[in-house]
Amino acid sequence: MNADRFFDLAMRVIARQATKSERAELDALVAEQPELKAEFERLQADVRLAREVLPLVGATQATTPGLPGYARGRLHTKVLKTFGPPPVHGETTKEAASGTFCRWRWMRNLAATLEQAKSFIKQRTSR
Amino acid sequence: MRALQAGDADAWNEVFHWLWPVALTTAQLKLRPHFPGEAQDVATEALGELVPKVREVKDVEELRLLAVSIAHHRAVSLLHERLTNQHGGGPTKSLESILDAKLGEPPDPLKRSSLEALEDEELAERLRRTIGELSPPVTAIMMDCFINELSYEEIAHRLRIPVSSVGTDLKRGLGTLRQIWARRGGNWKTSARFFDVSSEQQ
Repeated sequence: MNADRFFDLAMRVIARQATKSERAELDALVAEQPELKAEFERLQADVRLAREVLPLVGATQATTPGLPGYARGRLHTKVLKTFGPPPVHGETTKEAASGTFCRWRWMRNLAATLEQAKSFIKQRTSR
Repeated sequence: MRALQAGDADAWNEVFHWLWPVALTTAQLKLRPHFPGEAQDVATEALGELVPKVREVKDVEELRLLAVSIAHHRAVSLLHERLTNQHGGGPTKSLESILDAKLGEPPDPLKRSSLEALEDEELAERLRRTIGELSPPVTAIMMDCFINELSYEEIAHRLRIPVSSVGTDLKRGLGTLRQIWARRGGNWKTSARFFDVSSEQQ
Protein backbone atom coordinates (compact mmCIF):
# COMPACT_ATOMS: atom_id res chain seq x y z
CA MET A 1 0.00 0.00 0.00
CA ASN A 2 1.24 3.43 -0.85
CA ALA A 3 1.31 5.52 2.36
CA ASP A 4 1.03 8.74 0.37
CA ARG A 5 -2.12 7.49 -1.34
CA PHE A 6 -3.67 6.58 2.01
CA PHE A 7 -2.79 10.02 3.38
CA ASP A 8 -4.25 11.86 0.39
CA LEU A 9 -7.46 9.83 0.51
CA ALA A 10 -7.77 10.32 4.25
CA MET A 11 -7.24 14.08 3.90
CA ARG A 12 -9.89 14.36 1.22
CA VAL A 13 -12.35 12.35 3.29
CA ILE A 14 -11.65 14.38 6.45
CA ALA A 15 -12.08 17.62 4.49
CA ARG A 16 -15.30 16.22 2.98
CA GLN A 17 -13.88 16.70 -0.48
CA ALA A 18 -13.64 13.03 -1.46
CA THR A 19 -15.60 11.64 -4.38
CA LYS A 20 -17.61 8.46 -3.97
CA SER A 21 -14.89 6.41 -5.61
CA GLU A 22 -12.18 7.92 -3.39
CA ARG A 23 -14.25 7.16 -0.31
CA ALA A 24 -14.72 3.58 -1.54
CA GLU A 25 -10.99 3.27 -2.19
CA LEU A 26 -10.23 4.37 1.36
CA ASP A 27 -12.81 1.99 2.79
CA ALA A 28 -11.23 -0.85 0.81
CA LEU A 29 -7.76 0.06 2.10
CA VAL A 30 -8.99 0.11 5.70
CA ALA A 31 -10.80 -3.20 5.23
CA GLU A 32 -7.57 -4.70 3.91
CA GLN A 33 -5.43 -3.28 6.69
CA PRO A 34 -7.45 -2.64 9.86
CA GLU A 35 -4.54 -0.83 11.53
CA LEU A 36 -5.22 2.04 9.11
CA LYS A 37 -8.46 2.79 10.97
CA ALA A 38 -6.45 3.91 14.00
CA GLU A 39 -4.21 5.97 11.75
CA PHE A 40 -7.23 7.58 10.13
CA GLU A 41 -8.59 8.54 13.57
CA ARG A 42 -5.21 9.95 14.51
CA LEU A 43 -5.21 12.04 11.35
CA GLN A 44 -8.66 13.36 12.25
CA ALA A 45 -7.28 14.41 15.64
CA ASP A 46 -4.28 16.04 13.95
CA VAL A 47 -6.53 18.03 11.64
CA ARG A 48 -8.64 19.15 14.61
CA LEU A 49 -5.45 20.27 16.33
CA ALA A 50 -4.31 22.12 13.21
CA ARG A 51 -7.65 23.91 13.08
CA GLU A 52 -7.10 25.13 16.63
CA VAL A 53 -3.42 25.98 16.44
CA LEU A 54 -3.15 27.62 13.00
CA PRO A 55 -5.56 30.48 13.76
CA LEU A 56 -3.50 31.24 16.89
CA VAL A 57 -0.35 31.29 14.77
CA GLY A 58 -2.16 33.66 12.40
CA ALA A 59 -3.25 35.86 15.32
CA THR A 60 0.38 36.49 16.31
CA GLN A 61 0.75 38.44 13.05
CA ALA A 62 -2.31 40.68 13.50
CA THR A 63 -1.62 44.42 13.15
CA THR A 64 -5.11 45.96 13.22
CA PRO A 65 -7.23 47.42 14.76
CA GLY A 66 -5.75 50.17 16.92
CA LEU A 67 -5.87 50.29 20.72
CA PRO A 68 -9.07 52.03 21.88
CA GLY A 69 -8.79 54.86 24.41
CA TYR A 70 -10.70 53.15 27.22
CA ALA A 71 -8.44 50.09 27.03
CA ARG A 72 -5.33 52.27 27.08
CA GLY A 73 -6.58 53.95 30.25
CA ARG A 74 -7.29 50.67 32.00
CA LEU A 75 -3.97 49.19 30.98
CA HIS A 76 -1.94 52.16 32.14
CA THR A 77 -3.72 51.99 35.49
CA LYS A 78 -2.61 48.37 35.70
CA VAL A 79 1.00 49.38 34.93
CA LEU A 80 0.81 52.02 37.63
CA LYS A 81 -0.55 49.55 40.18
CA THR A 82 2.10 46.97 39.30
CA PHE A 83 5.20 49.16 39.15
CA GLY A 84 4.22 52.20 41.20
CA PRO A 85 4.24 55.86 40.08
CA PRO A 86 6.56 56.76 37.22
CA PRO A 87 9.97 58.21 38.15
CA VAL A 88 10.44 61.99 37.79
CA HIS A 89 11.90 63.44 34.55
CA GLY A 90 10.82 60.24 32.76
CA GLU A 91 13.96 58.33 33.75
CA THR A 92 13.81 54.72 34.84
CA THR A 93 13.95 53.82 38.55
CA LYS A 94 17.57 52.67 38.41
CA GLU A 95 18.68 55.80 36.64
CA ALA A 96 16.75 57.94 39.09
CA ALA A 97 18.53 56.25 41.97
CA SER A 98 21.95 56.99 40.56
CA GLY A 99 21.11 60.42 39.22
CA THR A 100 22.89 59.55 35.97
CA PHE A 101 19.93 60.41 33.80
CA CYS A 102 19.51 63.93 35.24
CA ARG A 103 23.22 64.63 34.92
CA TRP A 104 23.20 63.41 31.35
CA ARG A 105 20.24 65.65 30.42
CA TRP A 106 21.91 68.63 32.11
CA MET A 107 25.14 68.05 30.16
CA ARG A 108 23.22 67.66 26.91
CA ASN A 109 21.35 70.94 27.48
CA LEU A 110 24.58 72.72 28.39
CA ALA A 111 26.26 71.45 25.23
CA ALA A 112 23.32 72.64 23.12
CA THR A 113 23.42 76.11 24.74
CA LEU A 114 27.18 76.40 24.16
CA GLU A 115 26.71 75.41 20.54
CA GLN A 116 24.07 78.13 20.07
CA ALA A 117 26.30 80.73 21.75
CA LYS A 118 29.21 79.73 19.51
CA SER A 119 27.20 80.16 16.31
CA PHE A 120 25.83 83.51 17.57
CA ILE A 121 29.36 84.84 18.20
CA LYS A 122 30.50 83.54 14.83
CA GLN A 123 27.68 85.42 13.10
CA ARG A 124 28.48 88.65 14.95
CA THR A 125 32.21 88.51 14.13
CA SER A 126 31.60 87.76 10.43
CA ARG A 127 29.55 91.00 10.16
CA MET B 1 12.66 45.22 28.07
CA ARG B 2 14.33 47.09 30.94
CA ALA B 3 12.06 50.07 30.33
CA LEU B 4 9.01 47.79 30.53
CA GLN B 5 10.29 46.12 33.66
CA ALA B 6 10.77 49.56 35.23
CA GLY B 7 7.18 50.51 34.41
CA ASP B 8 8.07 53.15 31.80
CA ALA B 9 4.72 54.49 30.55
CA ASP B 10 5.94 55.26 27.01
CA ALA B 11 7.42 51.80 26.57
CA TRP B 12 4.21 50.18 27.79
CA ASN B 13 2.15 52.39 25.52
CA GLU B 14 4.15 51.15 22.53
CA VAL B 15 3.79 47.53 23.60
CA PHE B 16 0.05 47.88 24.20
CA HIS B 17 -0.42 49.34 20.71
CA TRP B 18 1.60 46.49 19.24
CA LEU B 19 -0.09 43.70 21.21
CA TRP B 20 -3.69 44.92 21.12
CA PRO B 21 -4.50 43.52 17.64
CA VAL B 22 -2.84 40.23 18.59
CA ALA B 23 -4.87 39.82 21.81
CA LEU B 24 -8.11 41.02 20.22
CA THR B 25 -7.81 38.73 17.18
CA THR B 26 -7.13 35.78 19.49
CA ALA B 27 -10.14 36.54 21.67
CA GLN B 28 -12.37 36.98 18.62
CA LEU B 29 -11.43 33.52 17.33
CA LYS B 30 -13.37 31.94 20.19
CA LEU B 31 -15.91 34.61 21.04
CA ARG B 32 -17.08 35.98 17.68
CA PRO B 33 -19.76 33.31 17.04
CA HIS B 34 -21.31 33.54 20.52
CA PHE B 35 -20.26 36.68 22.39
CA PRO B 36 -18.61 39.08 19.92
CA GLY B 37 -19.13 42.05 22.25
CA GLU B 38 -16.90 40.50 24.91
CA ALA B 39 -13.75 40.21 22.82
CA GLN B 40 -12.45 43.72 23.59
CA ASP B 41 -12.86 43.23 27.34
CA VAL B 42 -11.12 39.87 27.17
CA ALA B 43 -8.24 41.39 25.17
CA THR B 44 -7.89 44.21 27.70
CA GLU B 45 -7.88 41.77 30.62
CA ALA B 46 -5.36 39.56 28.86
CA LEU B 47 -2.95 42.46 28.31
CA GLY B 48 -3.48 43.53 31.91
CA GLU B 49 -2.56 40.05 33.05
CA LEU B 50 0.57 40.30 30.95
CA VAL B 51 1.90 43.35 32.84
CA PRO B 52 3.27 41.60 35.97
CA LYS B 53 4.57 38.72 33.84
CA VAL B 54 7.03 41.06 32.15
CA ARG B 55 9.40 40.48 35.05
CA GLU B 56 9.84 36.86 33.96
CA VAL B 57 10.10 37.17 30.18
CA LYS B 58 13.31 37.45 28.19
CA ASP B 59 12.22 39.35 25.11
CA VAL B 60 9.27 41.11 23.53
CA GLU B 61 8.58 38.20 21.19
CA GLU B 62 7.82 36.11 24.26
CA LEU B 63 5.36 38.80 25.32
CA ARG B 64 3.49 38.46 22.02
CA LEU B 65 3.13 34.70 22.39
CA LEU B 66 2.07 35.07 26.01
CA ALA B 67 -0.55 37.62 24.93
CA VAL B 68 -1.99 35.03 22.54
CA SER B 69 -1.95 32.30 25.22
CA ILE B 70 -3.60 34.42 27.90
CA ALA B 71 -6.22 35.85 25.53
CA HIS B 72 -7.03 32.34 24.28
CA HIS B 73 -7.43 30.92 27.78
CA ARG B 74 -9.48 33.90 28.95
CA ALA B 75 -11.79 33.65 25.94
CA VAL B 76 -12.29 29.91 26.43
CA SER B 77 -13.04 30.39 30.16
CA LEU B 78 -15.56 33.12 29.45
CA LEU B 79 -17.23 31.06 26.76
CA HIS B 80 -17.58 28.03 29.02
CA GLU B 81 -18.75 30.11 31.96
CA ARG B 82 -21.38 32.00 29.97
CA LEU B 83 -22.72 28.99 28.12
CA THR B 84 -22.84 26.90 31.26
CA ASN B 85 -24.76 29.67 33.06
CA GLN B 86 -27.14 30.15 30.16
CA HIS B 87 -28.01 26.50 30.15
CA GLY B 88 -28.14 25.95 33.89
CA GLY B 89 -24.79 24.20 34.27
CA GLY B 90 -24.13 20.60 33.42
CA PRO B 91 -21.28 18.40 32.34
CA THR B 92 -18.77 19.41 29.70
CA LYS B 93 -20.24 17.12 27.11
CA SER B 94 -23.53 19.01 27.18
CA LEU B 95 -21.64 22.24 26.76
CA GLU B 96 -19.98 20.91 23.65
CA SER B 97 -23.34 19.84 22.30
CA ILE B 98 -24.65 23.36 22.93
CA LEU B 99 -21.70 24.82 21.05
CA ASP B 100 -22.18 22.42 18.17
CA ALA B 101 -25.91 23.00 18.05
CA LYS B 102 -25.33 26.75 17.92
CA LEU B 103 -23.01 26.30 14.99
CA GLY B 104 -25.56 24.14 13.25
CA GLU B 105 -23.19 21.19 13.08
CA PRO B 106 -23.65 17.64 14.33
CA PRO B 107 -22.28 17.09 17.84
CA ASP B 108 -18.63 16.09 17.92
CA PRO B 109 -17.66 14.52 21.23
CA LEU B 110 -13.94 14.86 20.43
CA LYS B 111 -14.18 18.59 19.84
CA ARG B 112 -12.95 19.63 23.30
CA SER B 113 -9.78 21.65 22.92
CA SER B 114 -6.54 19.95 23.76
CA LEU B 115 -4.96 23.36 24.32
CA GLU B 116 -7.07 24.18 27.35
CA ALA B 117 -5.03 21.96 29.63
CA LEU B 118 -1.83 23.84 28.90
CA GLU B 119 -0.58 26.65 31.14
CA ASP B 120 -0.10 30.08 29.52
CA GLU B 121 3.67 29.67 29.38
CA GLU B 122 3.45 26.13 27.98
CA LEU B 123 1.03 27.21 25.27
CA ALA B 124 3.28 30.17 24.39
CA GLU B 125 6.30 27.89 24.18
CA ARG B 126 4.54 25.44 21.86
CA LEU B 127 3.36 28.31 19.67
CA ARG B 128 6.94 29.57 19.50
CA ARG B 129 8.12 26.12 18.37
CA THR B 130 5.28 25.86 15.84
CA ILE B 131 6.16 29.21 14.28
CA GLY B 132 9.85 28.29 14.27
CA GLU B 133 9.51 24.78 12.87
CA LEU B 134 6.71 25.17 10.31
CA SER B 135 8.09 26.88 7.23
CA PRO B 136 5.95 29.73 5.84
CA PRO B 137 5.01 27.82 2.63
CA VAL B 138 3.88 24.79 4.64
CA THR B 139 1.92 27.04 7.02
CA ALA B 140 0.25 28.71 4.02
CA ILE B 141 -0.78 25.34 2.56
CA MET B 142 -2.12 24.14 5.91
CA MET B 143 -4.07 27.38 6.38
CA ASP B 144 -5.59 27.05 2.92
CA CYS B 145 -6.53 23.42 3.47
CA PHE B 146 -7.72 23.37 7.09
CA ILE B 147 -8.92 26.92 7.69
CA ASN B 148 -9.94 28.20 4.26
CA GLU B 149 -11.09 24.72 3.23
CA LEU B 150 -9.68 24.87 -0.29
CA SER B 151 -9.19 21.68 -2.30
CA TYR B 152 -5.72 20.36 -3.21
CA GLU B 153 -6.28 21.63 -6.74
CA GLU B 154 -7.31 25.11 -5.61
CA ILE B 155 -4.31 25.35 -3.28
CA ALA B 156 -1.94 24.20 -6.02
CA HIS B 157 -3.41 26.74 -8.43
CA ARG B 158 -3.32 29.58 -5.90
CA LEU B 159 0.25 28.93 -4.77
CA ARG B 160 1.47 27.82 -8.22
CA ILE B 161 2.82 24.48 -7.04
CA PRO B 162 2.21 20.90 -8.24
CA VAL B 163 -0.85 19.19 -6.73
CA SER B 164 1.41 16.40 -5.46
CA SER B 165 3.37 18.92 -3.36
CA VAL B 166 0.22 19.91 -1.50
CA GLY B 167 -0.19 16.41 -0.04
CA THR B 168 3.50 16.10 0.76
CA ASP B 169 3.59 19.45 2.57
CA LEU B 170 0.38 18.77 4.46
CA LYS B 171 1.79 15.48 5.65
CA ARG B 172 5.01 17.14 6.72
CA GLY B 173 3.15 19.96 8.46
CA LEU B 174 0.79 17.68 10.34
CA GLY B 175 3.75 15.53 11.40
CA THR B 176 5.52 18.60 12.78
CA LEU B 177 2.40 19.74 14.63
CA ARG B 178 1.91 16.26 16.07
CA GLN B 179 5.45 16.23 17.42
CA ILE B 180 5.24 19.70 18.94
CA TRP B 181 1.81 19.35 20.47
CA ALA B 182 2.06 15.74 21.59
CA ARG B 183 0.97 15.51 25.17
CA ARG B 184 3.59 14.73 27.74
CA GLY B 185 3.49 11.07 28.60
CA GLY B 186 3.16 10.04 24.97
CA ASN B 187 -0.61 9.77 24.51
CA TRP B 188 -0.13 10.90 20.95
CA LYS B 189 2.52 8.58 19.67
CA THR B 190 4.17 9.70 16.49
CA SER B 191 3.57 7.21 13.76
CA ALA B 192 6.89 6.83 11.97
CA ARG B 193 5.16 5.08 9.12
CA PHE B 194 3.18 8.12 8.01
CA PHE B 195 5.07 10.97 9.57
CA ASP B 196 8.73 10.36 8.99
CA VAL B 197 9.30 14.08 9.11
CA SER B 198 12.97 14.01 9.97
CA SER B 199 13.91 11.83 7.01
CA GLU B 200 11.74 13.84 4.62
CA GLN B 201 13.20 17.14 5.70
CA GLN B 202 16.79 16.00 5.29
